[in-house]
Amino acid sequence: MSDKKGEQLSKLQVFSTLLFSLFNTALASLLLSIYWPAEAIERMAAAGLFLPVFWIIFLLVGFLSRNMKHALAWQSGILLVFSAVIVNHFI
Amino acid sequence: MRQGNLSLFYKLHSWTGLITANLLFVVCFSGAIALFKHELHAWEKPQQRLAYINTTGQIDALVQQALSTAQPDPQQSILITLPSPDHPQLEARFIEQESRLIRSVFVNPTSHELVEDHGNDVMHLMKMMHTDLMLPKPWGRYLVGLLGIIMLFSIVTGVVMHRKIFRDIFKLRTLRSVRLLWSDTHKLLGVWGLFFHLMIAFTGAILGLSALIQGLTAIGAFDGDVQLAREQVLGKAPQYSDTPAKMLNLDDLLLKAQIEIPDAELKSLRLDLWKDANAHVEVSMNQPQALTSVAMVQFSGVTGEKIKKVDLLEESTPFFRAFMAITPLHYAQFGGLLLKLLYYLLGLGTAMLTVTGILIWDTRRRQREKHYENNHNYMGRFTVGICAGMVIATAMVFWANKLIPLFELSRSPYFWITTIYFVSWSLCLIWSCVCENTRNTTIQLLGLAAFLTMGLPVLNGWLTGDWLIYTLINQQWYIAVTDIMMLLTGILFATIAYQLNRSTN
Repeated sequence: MSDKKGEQLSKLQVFSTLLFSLFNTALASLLLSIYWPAEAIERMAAAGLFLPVFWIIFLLVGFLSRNMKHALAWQSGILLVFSAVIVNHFI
Repeated sequence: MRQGNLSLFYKLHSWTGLITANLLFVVCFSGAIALFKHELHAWEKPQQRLAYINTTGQIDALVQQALSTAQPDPQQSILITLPSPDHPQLEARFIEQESRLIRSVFVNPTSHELVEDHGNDVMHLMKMMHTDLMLPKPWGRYLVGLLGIIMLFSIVTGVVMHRKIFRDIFKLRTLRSVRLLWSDTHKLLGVWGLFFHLMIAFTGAILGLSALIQGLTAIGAFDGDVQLAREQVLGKAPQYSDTPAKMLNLDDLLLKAQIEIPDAELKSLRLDLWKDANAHVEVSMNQPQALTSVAMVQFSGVTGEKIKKVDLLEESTPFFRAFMAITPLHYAQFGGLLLKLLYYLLGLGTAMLTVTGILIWDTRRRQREKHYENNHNYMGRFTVGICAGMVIATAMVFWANKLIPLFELSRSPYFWITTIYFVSWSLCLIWSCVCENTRNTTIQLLGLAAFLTMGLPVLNGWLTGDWLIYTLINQQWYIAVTDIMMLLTGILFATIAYQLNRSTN
């Protein structure tokens, strides 16, 4: 586990961040490709362009968290807020 | 920012670099060379160095000539690249019916004769290294895409932890220690080329992972129908009817396409189901000097009826336009040869960024642990062997391309090119791993790389008569640019070797 200053990353945190960021990125891109208010081709392009951005955000959030639990919680929280905004706003 | 977070960023930056830097160098260096696809084509094959002429009204005759001796698969597309100043010959590319191999046929627009061609070995090798790392498809492509994401991550962490970003922007201490030289070079290359590095990593990630992205986003946008998604972008493919039909004159169709989109330049043709009753002819065009300038008109090859017209400058939506800008942005397909040279230099900078990062880490670790007995610099030696070795191996295949035709060899030139490439690379790697002093090995290998690359314009001039000075005077830019590229590379590596020699160990 990480130390109090947050200077060390445990193997578990690294592994879970890599895996969870991949899953969250795929989910966020999928949501964008479904709910973005435009034609199908435009939705697809938007989701494709945002995919690397989502991935970097989720990776940074995961690695900068205090420990593995915090990493998962922060990443899930961001995905939930994003889902709520995009679904509520564009449905 | 808290000291703890800063330290964490430093560790993330170091570890992502350590794991991927050598692979990133291979992708970046081969990509910088693969930018000059058309130019290298002519450099590799002196018989393809033709003068450009206007071929208006002659395209149909040239295509007929290209396909006269060929047996293309009637159910597959034939791609025709029209003559242009940087690609003066007409090229027909298709899948051969019997062998199922992709074949290219070239026609001289002046004499209407077929031009001898044996495959573009060096270009093909560089392209395969860049896009697939010579790994089986599609895994190599996915790995390169993943490297793009890691590079993006590395750039973001690097920018965040580099607090004195503007103060260090002109700092290069050449007469101090080797570690300071690497450190200053790393920061300078990173800061000056920051937007280029970001752009190339972002577009590279999307291009590498495009097949996965397409599949994923098609689930949401097209209810999982990837074929429908492809048809939306590329248009619907015609159905083979197995009924032969007489094709319309291609020059007439080109004229009709020009009337549809008057300002665009003709670029290429795609002949679908050629000589079938359902044949389509797709004319692709470019808006000069525009980034996303895809313009296309599709006709029936039998009746000449217009089937589809796409003009991205007029009718596209913002995200789709941005998506279509990724390929031209990544491969510098807008803005001409000068932009390609700028991309080349910045691309070398991106490649150097990865090497200098590893060398900083290695020298810092050795200084910190100098009292330990087993303080070997394996990582530094390996990196120097991989990176300087790759430059030497690349220069060697350019030499081999010119020297192999002088010998009668039983195997194909591509076999010898790849053998020379990997053998010379392995030898450099072994040499670097055996020698203990990384600094001296770097100087030796970079010196050899500089000698080999700077010798290439001389070798080209000597064997083909196209000396750089003549190609510049005759404005044969597409030949001259490869010689210039080699000279610039040689000068760059000679300078680094010289500076390294001046610095203290």
